[in-house]
Amino acid sequence: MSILDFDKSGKLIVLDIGIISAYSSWLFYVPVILDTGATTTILSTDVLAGLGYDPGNPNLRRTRIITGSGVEYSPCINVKGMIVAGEKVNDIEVLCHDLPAEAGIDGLLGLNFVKNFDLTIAYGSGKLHFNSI
Amino acid sequence: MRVGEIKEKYKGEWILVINPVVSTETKILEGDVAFHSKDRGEVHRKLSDFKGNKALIYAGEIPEDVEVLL
Repeated sequence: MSILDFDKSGKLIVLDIGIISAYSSWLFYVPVILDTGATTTILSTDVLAGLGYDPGNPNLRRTRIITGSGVEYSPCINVKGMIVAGEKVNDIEVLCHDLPAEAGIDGLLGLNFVKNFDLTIAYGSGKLHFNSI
Repeated sequence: MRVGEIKEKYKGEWILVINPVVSTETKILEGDVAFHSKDRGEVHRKLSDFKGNKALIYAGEIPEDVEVLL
């Protein structure tokens, strides 16, 4: 089990996540929020392009995403792997979608990552418990 | 430079860090500042200029009078 501290005084639960580059040669760590209301993890287009993926590829599957402000279509990419709280999940799908910079994050950690774990959000102690299923 | 020092020095900015030192819980602890800007897009565009592991840090806060619904 991994235990990760978060800032319980913050408005959002912000985590650093590591994403493996397209050629598995390096990692890029970005701040995202834990969003149990999101079915799929989201990363910004520029980040994915910087990691060597091709979010502009017209052959990518596009998915309809329902947000608080409407419906949009975004391409899906499978990244080589993602590391959160020291726990790695290989070959995981992410949506390419740019969130406003004002939120201070570069994506959302959605349920398609979280569902690999028993996750406990302990607000009293400001800790997240990730227990692999 | 430690993350706390980076956030203090570059308040309100996005910072691209190279050679990041990361804890076993995937928390960025320290690294070398490669580029910084208030414009996130400008920082993103610098990504391919540097080899090896990198990290993005935001040294700002959501204003008190703003709520977030994603």
